[in-house]
Amino acid sequence: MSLIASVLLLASETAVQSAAAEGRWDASLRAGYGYMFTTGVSSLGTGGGPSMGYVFRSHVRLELAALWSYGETVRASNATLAYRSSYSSMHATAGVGYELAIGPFRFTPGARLGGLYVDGSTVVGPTKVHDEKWFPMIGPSLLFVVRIGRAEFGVDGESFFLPTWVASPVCGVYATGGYRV
Amino acid sequence: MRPLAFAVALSATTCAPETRALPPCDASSAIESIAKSATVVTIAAVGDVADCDGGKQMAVASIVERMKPDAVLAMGDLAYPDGAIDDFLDCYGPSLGRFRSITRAAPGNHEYHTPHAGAYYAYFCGSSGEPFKGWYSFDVGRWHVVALNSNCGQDLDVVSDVASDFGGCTDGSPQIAWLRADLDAHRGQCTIAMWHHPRWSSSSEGSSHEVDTIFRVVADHGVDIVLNGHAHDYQRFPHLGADGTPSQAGPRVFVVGTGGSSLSSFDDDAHDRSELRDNGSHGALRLELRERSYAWSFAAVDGDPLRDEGEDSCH
Repeated sequence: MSLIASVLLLASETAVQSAAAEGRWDASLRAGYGYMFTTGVSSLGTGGGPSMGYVFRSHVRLELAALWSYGETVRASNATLAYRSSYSSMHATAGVGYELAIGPFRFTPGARLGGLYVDGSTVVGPTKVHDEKWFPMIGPSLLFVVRIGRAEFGVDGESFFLPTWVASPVCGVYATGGYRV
Repeated sequence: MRPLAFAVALSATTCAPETRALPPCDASSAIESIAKSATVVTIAAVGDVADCDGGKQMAVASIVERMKPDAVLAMGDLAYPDGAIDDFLDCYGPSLGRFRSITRAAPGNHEYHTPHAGAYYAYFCGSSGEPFKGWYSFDVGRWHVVALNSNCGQDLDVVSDVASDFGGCTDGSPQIAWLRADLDAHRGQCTIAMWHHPRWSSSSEGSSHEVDTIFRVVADHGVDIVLNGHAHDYQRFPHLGADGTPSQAGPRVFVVGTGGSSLSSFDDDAHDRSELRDNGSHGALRLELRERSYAWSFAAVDGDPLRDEGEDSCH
């Protein structure tokens, strides 16, 4: 058996044993930063939210997550004109991944599908436009946590493609901390 | 962490937004002060200008300065990458921004990377279209100029419903209704029409079918010159009819996407209707508008090879 296969087998066996011993449900909080490309005013930025997941015996992990992002506000003005553009967002996703365990370390590559809700407004002088828009989103994710007892701490990375906003992908990196039961 | 402490920490990590200083809105427009009796007016026309990631906009601005123009027509994509207020103030401002008081612009697709092209309308103090519509007209000397919003939703890098800001570009839309009425009211006057996306182009950005109605209305109303950007190159067309075939009754079309951003390739030879095309030079188009005729010359930045000049008459 190759070295890689051996490592994977050991990791999966460890994961199964750990899951059986420590439970398969997990709940966590994420906080970090999201970035929106090709836009002058990002609706992501600093953000945070809850996540919960379940790991099956097959090491498949299902999850649900929500994240609120503070967004961005841009202002400019002179003596007679003021410009303000401010957007924030919330996105909710359902995800599927495969949990690989090596000792206390858990790697879960996966994919997420959900929706991004953007809320905000742009004002130029006396003219204002208010926006509330939904965008479907799909993309890969990578969760890395270190288990200390039943607590888990780590990093959650995600990247999304928005089919109705083709050339504006988004990505985020968040610190995560939670509990597995 | 308690919720309140978390909220405080969250807000503290996001600095209060700095308010950038916009240049002052001029109380009176230097363009409108050009006497209607003026028999010769000099125009500098250019699009696709300031690239914050590096571009030739400063050299193009020097070329424009040498022209000593009475007005500058800017055909969109003026501040890369995203038409944000920082892009306008930090990159467009130091280059073609020095001519802001005599500039009239049309919005490009990169302006709409920023929601509703808000930074574009704010930077130009509403003199380049009422927020958030983007179409308007004005006179420069004896000539009439119409500026249009060609962001009809076809570009991949804009929110899909940009056209809903201003009603789009199809028959029956407010912009087209306004265009017909404006051109009807100025029949007999030499006229320029400017917008960002060219109806016909052999550049890698392609032809823009979504502006077909705009082009047909312009051609049917005897407009003399059409100025476009979007394609990062120079293309001079003959007079084109509404269907894009040569017709002396239609406008002469210029694509001048050479304002500073990196130049693009010609990869659509099947749709090349130009008399001359070049993607090796940055620069601006100089138009000398006379009573019933005009002369054009392309002014390339120092070291770039393109030379093109000619004369033509109004309809």
